[in-house]
Amino acid sequence: MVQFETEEMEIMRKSGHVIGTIADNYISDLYQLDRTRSPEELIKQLKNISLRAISIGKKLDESIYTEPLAKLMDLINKYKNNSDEIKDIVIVYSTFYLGAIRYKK
Amino acid sequence: MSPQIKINQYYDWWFDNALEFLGNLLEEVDVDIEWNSGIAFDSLDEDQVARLVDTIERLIKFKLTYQKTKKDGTQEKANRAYLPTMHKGKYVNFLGKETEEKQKICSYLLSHEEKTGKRICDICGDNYDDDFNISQVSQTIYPMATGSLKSQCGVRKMEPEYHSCPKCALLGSIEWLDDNPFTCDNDNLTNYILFPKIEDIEELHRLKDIIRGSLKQGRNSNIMELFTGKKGGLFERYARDEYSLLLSLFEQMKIIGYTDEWACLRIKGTSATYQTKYSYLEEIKIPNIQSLDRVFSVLQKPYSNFIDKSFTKSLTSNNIDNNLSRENKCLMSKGIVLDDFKTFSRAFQIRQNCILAGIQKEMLYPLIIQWRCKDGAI
Repeated sequence: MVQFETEEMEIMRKSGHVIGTIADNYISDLYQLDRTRSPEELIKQLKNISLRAISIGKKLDESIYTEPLAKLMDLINKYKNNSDEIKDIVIVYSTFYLGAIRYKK
Repeated sequence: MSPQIKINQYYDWWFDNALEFLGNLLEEVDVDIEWNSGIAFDSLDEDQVARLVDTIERLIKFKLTYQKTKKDGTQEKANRAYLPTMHKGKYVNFLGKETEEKQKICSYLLSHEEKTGKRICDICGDNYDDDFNISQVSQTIYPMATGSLKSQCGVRKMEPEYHSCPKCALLGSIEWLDDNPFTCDNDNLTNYILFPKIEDIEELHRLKDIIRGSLKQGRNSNIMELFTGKKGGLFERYARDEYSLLLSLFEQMKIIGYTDEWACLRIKGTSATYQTKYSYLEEIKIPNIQSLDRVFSVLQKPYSNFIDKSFTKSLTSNNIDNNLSRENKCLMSKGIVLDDFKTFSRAFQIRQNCILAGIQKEMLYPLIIQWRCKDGAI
């Protein structure tokens, strides 16, 4: 099991926040993120989510900050052989944030 | 004077726990026990035998029954019928014998009278004679036994029949009265009982003494918290699977470094009148017990305060899905106990359009950082 740096954990947490926020409107994005089976697929899906974030930002007054997702893609490239572990952590955070948003409502 | 009677340990999860329990019962009636690859003690006098049987009979009433609330609100004592200790509403084997007969069996077994006979015990290999009519092995004696009493099994001669000596029959029967952590999942009609697996019987005795100090006696579990419901009334909060049970046991015990091997007996069918034939054994091997120390250093009660408070909700109807809630709690507990983040994270996957909720940030963040961060800094 890979042990990550504090800053890397922070990137994953913030990415989870972004993904959870987007999944509140587009749950299929989170499903598809979970279904990815390789680092390439994971990065591709993160790019899709980034584009979604930008389009949501255009519709809403408040824009969604997508920098964590860009940093997350770098992180996946750094840990290519262990991208699954990154995905697991990001999924935990994303679901937690989505649950928090939904439950608040 | 050196001890005269020695019962060697079996190196089997069930019978070693039973032997430890017998040693514990004997200590309760003021018999000095020497714990060394088994138990050794001086023979019992009549008074000690009577007290021992009295203790066993008290435990039968206390451990094998529970307080049941009927539809009209009245309470009654009900049998834990799912345990293979009964047949047609009556206790079987040693547990079903009259007091005098129980005393006779104990006097014989716990005296230095030479035990001989023509038959050979299928369990320990000793010679014996079936003078007490308790030799037929059913799940009462050994829960994983394939052979059942013919009358209980219904299918004759389909499986081989095993026979045991009175000593093994006594040990196997009384183990159902032992203080092992148990829980009952009423929705799944499944019961779980945990047994520590330790080769050194003295160590086993030490650990079980700690466990005994952590147990309560409830309807559905002996590791639970009581709470008052919104409309009054006292309810039990308890784990519903083996891993959650283990985690909540560790919470109660406060010391977790003792053993990393457990046997979990799973019994299907709670309300059967006839004894169940569906017993399964699962070995739980904790690969990295130090990881639990780390978890407990950041979360004092990972099950009660974190996992148990979670629930799983449908994203469409907003209703709580009890099956998935239970499954996710099990996944989180299993992940923590086995130090397997992948299993833990599976609870967070959105499945059947349902999402895990009720997770507290104050607990999740420290846990993940402790688990996955290099310096574990919070």
